[in-house]
Amino acid sequence: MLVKKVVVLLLVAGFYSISANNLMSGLTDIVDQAEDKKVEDKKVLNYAFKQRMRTQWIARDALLISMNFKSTFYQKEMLENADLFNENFKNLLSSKKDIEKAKKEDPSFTKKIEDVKNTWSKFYDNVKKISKDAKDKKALNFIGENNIKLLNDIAYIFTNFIKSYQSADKLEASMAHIKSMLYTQVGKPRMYINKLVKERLLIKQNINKKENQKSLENSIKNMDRLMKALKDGDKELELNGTEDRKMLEKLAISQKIWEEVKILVKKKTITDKELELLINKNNEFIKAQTEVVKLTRSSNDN
Amino acid sequence: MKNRVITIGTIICSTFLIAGGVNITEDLESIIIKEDNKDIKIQRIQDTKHRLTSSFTKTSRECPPYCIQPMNIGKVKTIGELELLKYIKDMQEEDSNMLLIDARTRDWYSEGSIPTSINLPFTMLKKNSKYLNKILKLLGAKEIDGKWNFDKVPTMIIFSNGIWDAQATQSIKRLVEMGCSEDKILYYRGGMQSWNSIGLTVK
Repeated sequence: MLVKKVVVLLLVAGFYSISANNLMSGLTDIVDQAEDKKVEDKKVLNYAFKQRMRTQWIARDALLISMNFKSTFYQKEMLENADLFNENFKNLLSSKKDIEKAKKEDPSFTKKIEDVKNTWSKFYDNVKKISKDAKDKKALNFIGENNIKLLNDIAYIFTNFIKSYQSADKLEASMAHIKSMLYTQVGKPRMYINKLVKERLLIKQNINKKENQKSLENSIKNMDRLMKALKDGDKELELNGTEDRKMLEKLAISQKIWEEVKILVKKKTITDKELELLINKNNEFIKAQTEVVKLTRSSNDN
Repeated sequence: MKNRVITIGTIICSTFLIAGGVNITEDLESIIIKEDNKDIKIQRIQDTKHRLTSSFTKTSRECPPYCIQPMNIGKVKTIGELELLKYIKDMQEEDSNMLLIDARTRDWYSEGSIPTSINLPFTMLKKNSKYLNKILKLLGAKEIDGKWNFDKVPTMIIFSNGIWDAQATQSIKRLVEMGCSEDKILYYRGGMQSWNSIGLTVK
């Protein structure tokens, strides 16, 4: 079969009228302007998700310090995380428009913010104390006793923030809901990994052993379910799963590290060498899962 | 063994016999257009083994929001790829009065769109959009006694992700609701799903 090849070659600049160009660039400018605001909104939410992880990271580091495990290193790391938490929290509180929006969604929101401000202020003071004195038992205990409350409060605040960002347009809101559920869930394993490593450390230290053992088992279950759901989907968690090859590759990396962590946290006794390995794997997992988060944000495969 | 060699040889030979360029139609291999002072060749992906790996491989998305769209929206003319390519070519003419609009939100648009298209998310045409007046004026519409006159607005070809996506439908409905004549709008219903599935150039 003879294929007749016709290439239609059209000529340069003059073909485009000036008014058409003006129209195109004018529209682009307006859309860019509207999009800039959305990008800012997304940044606020992105920082918000990371705060959950930081509460557990700080608590884990506090425990390692109390165990005299590389105290100097973890004192520094804990303070760095607390500084970042503080900065993001302050940014959030200063975004008055956003807070007003969130208040409309939930009238008790202002009170909750005051509660969290109060808890965080004490939490931050104690972190600073530990960063100066690794043996400050009182400060270490405070972090141990209040980190879950801080995690829950922060999660509550951010859920309301997300709600406040919902569009009044039904189609846009519905499309955004699917994405926000995915973003919420895809970042969560980073919080879980810190939480369950922290729980394993508490068991090693014989602190509320029975309670923490139960908590650890739950965390493992939640983590297993979530990792599977990110891949295969889970109706209750409002996740569709993915067939995207790149995403599956990234998830497989996280899953492999998670399996290694799971073996370590399930051990009845844990040596110092294994503890070091566990902490390294914990950090490796966070890096790997952050890659999943990044890929999720740049994809429309949901 | 000999038979196997012959079979493989036959397969290779027939592959060469039937292999040719992946054209758009029998008579059309590609079109070259100008965008941002650069030549862009719109053609199909030439690799006959190429398969989609993007999000357009999905068969099932949640409905709502991603529901199947009707073939016709009022009296707005629905077009396919060949008509769209002809319009894209025509749009290069000096006296062209046409605009190709990608009605999707920016996150979709930034993953790739049809060359020469402009992104005007459907959300920006909503009643409560603070940019609505600016956009309509830029398009050439005039507000007279609280009503919009669209006589001087270019013909708009509107598309979104395709048959499972309502973003283009919403834009079209909204423009008509504001007073835009239906013959000023063309609906490329296949959208990015169709465009991608036949391997046409994406910007």
